[in-house]
Amino acid sequence: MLQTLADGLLIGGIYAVIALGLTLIFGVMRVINMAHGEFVMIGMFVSYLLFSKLGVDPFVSILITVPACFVIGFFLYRLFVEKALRASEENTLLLTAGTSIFIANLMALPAFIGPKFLRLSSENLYWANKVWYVGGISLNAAMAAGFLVTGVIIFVLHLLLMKTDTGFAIRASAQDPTAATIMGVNVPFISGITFGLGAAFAGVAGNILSANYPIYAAIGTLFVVKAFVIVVLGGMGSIPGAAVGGLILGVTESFGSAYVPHGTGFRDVFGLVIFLLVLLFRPQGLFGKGH
Amino acid sequence: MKKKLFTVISIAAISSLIVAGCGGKEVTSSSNSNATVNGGTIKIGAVLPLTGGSAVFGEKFKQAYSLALEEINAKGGVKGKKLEIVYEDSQEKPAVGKTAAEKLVSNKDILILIGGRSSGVTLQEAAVAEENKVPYLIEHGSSDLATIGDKKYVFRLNPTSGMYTETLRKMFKENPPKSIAYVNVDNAFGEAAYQYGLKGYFEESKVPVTIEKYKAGELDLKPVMEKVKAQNPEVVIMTAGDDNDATQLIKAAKEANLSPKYFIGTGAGHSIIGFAKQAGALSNTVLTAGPWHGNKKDPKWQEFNKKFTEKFAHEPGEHEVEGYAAIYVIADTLSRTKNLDREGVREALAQTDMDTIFGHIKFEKFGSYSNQNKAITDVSQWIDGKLYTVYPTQYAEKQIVPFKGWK
Repeated sequence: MLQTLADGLLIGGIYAVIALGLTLIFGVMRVINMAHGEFVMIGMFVSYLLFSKLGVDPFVSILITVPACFVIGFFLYRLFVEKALRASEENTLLLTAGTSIFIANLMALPAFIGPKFLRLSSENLYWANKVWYVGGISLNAAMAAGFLVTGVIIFVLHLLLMKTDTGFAIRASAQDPTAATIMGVNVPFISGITFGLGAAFAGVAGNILSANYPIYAAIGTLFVVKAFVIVVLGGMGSIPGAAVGGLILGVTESFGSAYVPHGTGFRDVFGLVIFLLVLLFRPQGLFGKGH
Repeated sequence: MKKKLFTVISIAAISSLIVAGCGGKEVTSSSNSNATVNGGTIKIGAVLPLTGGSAVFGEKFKQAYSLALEEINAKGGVKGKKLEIVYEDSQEKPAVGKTAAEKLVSNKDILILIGGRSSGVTLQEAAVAEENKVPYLIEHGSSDLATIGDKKYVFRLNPTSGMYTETLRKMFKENPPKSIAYVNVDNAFGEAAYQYGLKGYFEESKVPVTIEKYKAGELDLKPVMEKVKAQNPEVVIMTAGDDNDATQLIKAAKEANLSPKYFIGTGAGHSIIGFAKQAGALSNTVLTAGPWHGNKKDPKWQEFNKKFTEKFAHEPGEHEVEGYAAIYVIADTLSRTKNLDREGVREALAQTDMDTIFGHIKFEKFGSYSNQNKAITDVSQWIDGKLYTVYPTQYAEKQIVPFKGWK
């Protein structure tokens, strides 16, 4: 029981950090970033490169992934998404969907990941198949460390949003872009920053995951669907919603797999059932504000 | 506003599923531009995953085919004509594979189909071949359904998923395990491995069995292994379509501290070098029941192994041996074909009776199968990153070592 809860929380923490990036972007720009999963993949790939070439631990390479994903996200927004924003919301949706396909295929070229599976080779990696035992519960070490990192990141994001001028500007842009512009906030720039931040979150998740999972060009789609479910579950644009939603999804999947007979084959179903229930009874999401 | 956003997000969710479903990768590696009837070549159509997560497997077959083609064409081809392969991408998705196969059969110059790779795509390619009366030689796709029933155009040189465990079942009959947990993948391959292979054994042997399923590509398999551990089985059998799943399974087993006497895979993901590479030390002593990888003592096999390794800088495994053998079967067929058309090729293919590096190939009707080669299967074991045959005893390279538990 406790074991199942722990397993669910660990995977849920990763879901949360991915969804956090997505919800941040949505909250400020009302843009649904379909290419979000690709940023997870980029994070995994950066982590792989740094580990295989220089022996950098995946948790240390977060320091590289964050600026890398931030810059890619920032320019993706300023050069492309911003232009599509002038038209309808569907256009940005198609643009980011196209970006997702483009990035995944670009990475499938031999110069990058290529058409193969990569893994952080296990001999020199501290985290390789490492299990920590805490009070009789077995925890995947990398995922447990990742959970702590996730906690720190959420705390830092909270400080950033609440205590800094940039955070204030981000919140203002989210609430009312026009009013923010009148008050002197450079909304397009702030939006770019937010997009970059969102991408960086996905990148961090990629780093954490790279210690345990295969890395391949098309892996992004695996995460983006879960992230959408969480964002809607928690309330679109809500940061606590994404954090709590991620944990709920992880725990629900874990308990469903463990306690429903033959539930392991229907893991995704449990999350989607919760998703439907929330849509039925609280369509604005758990932390959404409603009309 | 909010309502509109909900519409948008639903579209997003749906289209993300579509993107997930079609991967959006439309690259074909070979064009049909020179499809004008060319007296100099005989065309073979191949459906393979060339993009997406499984492209790595498509690449293995492309390498194996190209080596065989090179050798055959260097010797003057068949009947003075050179062999040529036209590729279409399946992305390892059955629906895309169906379209790819349809595109190939619409090219009248193509006399025979190969490829398929996954069970799901192979079944689609087989259906298209049968419907359009084009001979199709399966060399890897293993879902039993492809050669069950009265198939006229579909032939298979590799064993079926059900047959994979034939040797394992024999081994169990000699030494019955006390209890079994079976962890199976939720796709066409897993279904066939159970339905046509292990199910019959489980029912008649009366050994207590628990079965758990998981979704291919699932990130977190620990709950599966926790459930298995609660049963404390003597033997854990696992079916995985690719080396990623095989690796995630054994990692999860370690995390759950599951320690049976034997971990046994059923070919596919557990039989390829990618498993040993990805799982590293965790692969040690894992057994796998699947197609025999050819007689490694045979000089022809050794020559192939040497040539392949020199050319592509990695050792050939199950995929490569099958792909290479398949091209030789086709060359042999074409050399015996009287009328060089699809019907003529089918008739000659049915008469195949030859030795390859994958063993003897003869398409037979037995049990509920038709046009199925009685391919040899074995049980082999991963020891320090290498796969050794351990059963049946006449082919055994080493003795079986039980799993020693996690340190």
